[in-house]
Amino acid sequence: MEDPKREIPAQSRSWYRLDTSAKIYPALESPENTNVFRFSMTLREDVDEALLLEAMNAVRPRFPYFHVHLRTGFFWHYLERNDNPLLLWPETPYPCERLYPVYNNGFLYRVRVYRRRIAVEFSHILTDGSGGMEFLKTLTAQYLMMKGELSAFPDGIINPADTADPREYEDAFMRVLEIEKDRINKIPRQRTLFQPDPVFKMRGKLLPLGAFRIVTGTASVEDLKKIAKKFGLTITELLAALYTEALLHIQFRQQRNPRKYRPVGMEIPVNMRSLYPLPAMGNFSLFVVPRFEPRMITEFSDIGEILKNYMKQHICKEHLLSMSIDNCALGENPFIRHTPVFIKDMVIRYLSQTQGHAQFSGTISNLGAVQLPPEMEAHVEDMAFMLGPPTQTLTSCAVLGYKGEIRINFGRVAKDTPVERHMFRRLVELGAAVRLTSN
Amino acid sequence: MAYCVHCGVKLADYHERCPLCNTLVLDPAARSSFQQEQEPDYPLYRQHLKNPEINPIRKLLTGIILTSVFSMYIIILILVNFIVNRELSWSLVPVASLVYLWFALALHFFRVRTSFFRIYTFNSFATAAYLLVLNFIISGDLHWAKFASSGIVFVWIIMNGIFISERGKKWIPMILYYIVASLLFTALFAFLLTNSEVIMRMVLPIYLSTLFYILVSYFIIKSLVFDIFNFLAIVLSAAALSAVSVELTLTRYLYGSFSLSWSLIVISALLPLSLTAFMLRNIRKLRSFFVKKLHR
Repeated sequence: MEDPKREIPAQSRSWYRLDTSAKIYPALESPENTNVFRFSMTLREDVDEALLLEAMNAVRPRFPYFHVHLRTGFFWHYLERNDNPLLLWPETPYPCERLYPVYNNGFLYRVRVYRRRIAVEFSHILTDGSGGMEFLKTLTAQYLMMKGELSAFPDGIINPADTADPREYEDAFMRVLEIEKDRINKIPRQRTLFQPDPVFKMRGKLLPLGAFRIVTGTASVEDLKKIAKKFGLTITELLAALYTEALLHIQFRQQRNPRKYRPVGMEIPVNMRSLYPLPAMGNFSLFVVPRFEPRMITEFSDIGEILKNYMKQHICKEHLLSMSIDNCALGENPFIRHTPVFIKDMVIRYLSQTQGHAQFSGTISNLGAVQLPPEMEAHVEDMAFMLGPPTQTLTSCAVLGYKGEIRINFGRVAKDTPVERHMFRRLVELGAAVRLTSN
Repeated sequence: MAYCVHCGVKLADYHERCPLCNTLVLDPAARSSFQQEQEPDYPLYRQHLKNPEINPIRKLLTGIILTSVFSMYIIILILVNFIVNRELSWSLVPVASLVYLWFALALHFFRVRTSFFRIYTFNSFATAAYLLVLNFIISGDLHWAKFASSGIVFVWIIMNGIFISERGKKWIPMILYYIVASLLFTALFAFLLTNSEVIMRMVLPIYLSTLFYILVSYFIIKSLVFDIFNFLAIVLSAAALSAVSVELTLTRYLYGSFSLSWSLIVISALLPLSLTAFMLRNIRKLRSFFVKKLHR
């Protein structure tokens, strides 16, 4: 009997449970809300498609937990092994399109190739940013190996010759609770999933369904560090603060009545792997949502001050642990566990529409500086990270650093670009040289 | 590299307008030379999949849709006939035609890989069977269809020989094959032309039913991964079923009515054995299936 709680080698497993944070995504997936994010690497030469497909097949046994179907059980969705052939997709004008498993031989991720660029688009059901990045690193390294650019498989990235570690596909949040067994009782519970008052939502004319516009700004780390230092912030905080400032300005413009001003909430994902160094390849991140009351803010440094204090208080083991305890308790609740999956899906959809989306006005996800092994870095010129179409907030921001440069990637489903315009103009104003590309 | 005069940002060369404020930025004189050097970061149009791998799910979906359409028509026809006439009369002809169409059109979508020869084989046998059924429904015997059907099968046997010789390039087995096939066919035509009751009512049904069970179990065993328990389960149940059909045919011929006696003993011995073998093989899979579907 295959009980997922027992450790079975990944290659012989036929199915996996969804991890704690992935459980909501099958319910939330829709044509508007694709829940897809994307990484890409630009190489020095044009990509050989046949070779890339071979590389994909070569790394496939190392990541059995990514090569799965999404199936529906009676109480939960689950992932089942998928033995279909892999597909290599050409690039599209609009990245992060919805993943229709029927057209993708059932897989929940896809690889796209365009000239010199290899891109992987992952559904959030499978993994979060860090897991996707690890996969892309291995795939690219394997491709470069097969092409003869690398003599040996570089250290520091997952080697396809190894076998998968069972800790990679276990529920990492459960593991954290096991590690922190002694502290759990001392930590105060949050017990509030949602804040009662809704936040400001940007309004704007939408692009047609399926269209997704990208604006990528590239600036050097040195410039941004200098600016951040001026305000006493980190780079993530600086960018989040600028984003907040843009949203506040838009609110002042869109809402004439000051009594109707609403707070601005920024969703900032936190990678739990930095606090608990587990080799988890599933979803292992939480997010914090700092709120900014427009009446309390007179200038940019106020935003920075609020954000700095908030991050100091909330990005710590105690707070994140209490969040994960609450999340896991929800999944372990006997009443919820024994409710049929279609009822759970309906409730999740309802709560997400009414409560969840009212919690934040924008998303900024910083993956940090990505380090590649030096022998591989010579072949990889550029890297990018983008979040899927943000239907509710209209824009979202994904940040990634590589080779001393930071790529600030804005995706939008609205026609106009007020946030991007404000943000990049402010960055230029503050002394950063910004280079733009777009689709 | 151009700068936007409003935003102060540097723009990639392929941009004619600033993506932030839509201001025209490119020097029109320099445009042609830039565009040749620069490639845009994203294509302008969607492209099609470059390696058209067979997508089993899409094929399966087509098969399922066709099957459901055909079965819907069949059900409607039978219902209408039954409600209007209180018997199954005229609907049998269109139903048989629809079943034939399903064999000819929809069945191939359920296979991941089909070849021309496989489609041809299925369609020839489906046509032969359809003609027989049609003749039987219309006039209650097989006076013309038996010749037409055996003609189709004869053509298939010749084509089969050609296809196999194309692949195998082994000539002696090929010649043997043709000799056996033509002998069998001569025998068949001799039988079709003479009207012997024993052959028609006893030998042929027993022969055909046994052949049917052997073929069905052979294909089931071949389609599954070989396993001794599965093998036993299939062979034992096929043996039990063929015993039943043998006895039914015999009693029909000898006494003019269907009755079962010794085959019941055979069934009671073989079916439990077959079921046990089946459970022994599949209980793990069954249990795994339930664990998977009902995990909390």
